[in-house]
Amino acid sequence: MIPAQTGLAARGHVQLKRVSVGYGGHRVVNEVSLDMPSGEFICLLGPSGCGKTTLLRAVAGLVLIEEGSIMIDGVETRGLPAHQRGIAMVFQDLALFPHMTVYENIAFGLRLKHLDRRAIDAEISSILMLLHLKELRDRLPRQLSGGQQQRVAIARSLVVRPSVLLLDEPFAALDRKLREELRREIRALQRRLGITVVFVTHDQEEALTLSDRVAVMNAGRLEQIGSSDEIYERPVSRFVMNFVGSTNFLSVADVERYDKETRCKLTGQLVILSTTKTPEKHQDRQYELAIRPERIRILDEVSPPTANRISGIIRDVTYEGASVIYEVELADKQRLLIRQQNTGEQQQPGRTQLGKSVVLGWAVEDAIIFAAAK
Amino acid sequence: MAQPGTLSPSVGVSVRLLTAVALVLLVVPHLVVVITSFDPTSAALFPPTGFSLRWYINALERRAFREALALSVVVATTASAIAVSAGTLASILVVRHQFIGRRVLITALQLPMMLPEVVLGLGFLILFTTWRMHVSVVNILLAHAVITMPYAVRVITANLQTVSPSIEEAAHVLGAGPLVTLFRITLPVIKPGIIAAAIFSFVVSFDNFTVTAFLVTSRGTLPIEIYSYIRTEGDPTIAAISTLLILASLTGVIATVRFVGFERITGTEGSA
Repeated sequence: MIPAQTGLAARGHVQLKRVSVGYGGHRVVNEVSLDMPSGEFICLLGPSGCGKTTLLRAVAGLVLIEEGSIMIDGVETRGLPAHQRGIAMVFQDLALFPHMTVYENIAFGLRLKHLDRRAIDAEISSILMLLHLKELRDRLPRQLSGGQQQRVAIARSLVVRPSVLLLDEPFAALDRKLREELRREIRALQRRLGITVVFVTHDQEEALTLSDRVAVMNAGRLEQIGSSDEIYERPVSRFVMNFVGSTNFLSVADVERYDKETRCKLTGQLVILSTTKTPEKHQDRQYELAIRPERIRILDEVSPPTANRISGIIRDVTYEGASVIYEVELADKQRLLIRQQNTGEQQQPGRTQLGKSVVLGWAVEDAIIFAAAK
Repeated sequence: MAQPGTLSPSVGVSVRLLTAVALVLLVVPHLVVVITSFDPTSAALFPPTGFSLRWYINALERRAFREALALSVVVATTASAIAVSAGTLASILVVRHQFIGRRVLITALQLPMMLPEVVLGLGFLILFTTWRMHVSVVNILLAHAVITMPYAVRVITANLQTVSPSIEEAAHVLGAGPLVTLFRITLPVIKPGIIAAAIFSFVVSFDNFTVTAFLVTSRGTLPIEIYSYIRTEGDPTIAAISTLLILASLTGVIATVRFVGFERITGTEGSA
């Protein structure tokens, strides 16, 4: 087995300072600063085209940065080609060498380090064991299933004992079950080896479940960096709120900020929220109330009172198994989604509920106000 | 409307008929040559009047033909070696790198295939005369390298385009410099394309007549010898040589298809 890295000072500290990357005058990555301490699992999350893959490739040395600096363990990487950076990368298409067996693929990086045959054999045996690939060592990549190829790609990267492992949407092509299995494996491996992992994904669920911290990117910029719950509970922008998880955005009027609470009007009814979740008020700005579907409850006679109550009519019901999604129309025709846990205690969900009047409730902390998207 | 993949009866019949006509036109001339080569008379009659191998013996015994064959093989081998080496590097440059003048280079690499051979032959003749290059073999060799290069570039480029650049990047990240990546990753992966390109180039060089005719001063390649023989003699020796060449070509084609696959050669393969 590969022992955890000990002895030397922890490796894998990656510092990005105002990194910009551009192609032909167009900035793909714009002044991104990010400090990734040794041993951290960080996800770069964002829609396609947001620059997350380009940023990853810049760290790998596969694209040149225009401005800023990338330091790995205190060493400035400017001018350092990819093959001298001592990091590893798993590519989106895996990039296994098609003419080499599993063993040769994994041995490639070790042979370049001029290790003797015995040492190489030993390293490969242990990594094959670690990733359950022992039986497959003499197969060619095309003779492997998607999940097996994935494991070979990871093994090939880990065997060179990188201080930093970069993964570019490695599980995107796999089915859900396999993806979840490999996520657990990569997380366990990362903890065990103590390496820094930078994981690029557009899958918010993947980012939230895997990472110590999530870096949300949008249009080349770093939108927010924080732990999964910070990103989900306290998004700093409308973009983050909208991209991570699902959200109802509702137009509100007459926003008034006080010290502790902020008041506004939703379909003419008073809504109260915590002022810490309200932006400074600007003139001529439209505001939106953002609230997650699972934070809204459909109240009945026995429900405890909630700070905010608003009435509406059920227009659609979607049965998802573990939960039920209701689409409710408010008095001003705005619609919102509500996700209820299917605890079995509620009335049987179904078409019979369509057109029914309901009262919705949520707590002061559950909603956030953002300036409306222009 | 007909279903995709099926043809309406009338279209089906005409397509089959056209295919048959095309096949007949392709095959019949070759068959005529093969059959004539066994004719015992020196008149090269069709249909033949008997069966004889004397023209085969004549072809193999003539020193001019043997020398011409040797020269053709040497020229074709050397020219295709040059074309494939240079073509491989050019393909990598054009497929993997962005630079000013890339499109111009792509066109330039295909140019010898587009130009009439008479123009090329005359061009080479004027050029070599101006440079006072009078060694016929060297001139033919250089010209053939230029003529075969477009074919090599085409085949290798087609192969290289099916290979994801990420495997080269993966090699870099794992610690391989540019040269190691070239020799351990890129070249082995496009080996089928390189082999196909070599075969193509060899055949193109071996077959070439027009450009070679401009440059021959002393010894000629096989096509040149065949042509000069046919101008003085009318016997089926040429048919015999042709039959042997057809046999060699067929063997080569079958071996190639067996070895690298038809799709790789024609570049019609979807992905690596």
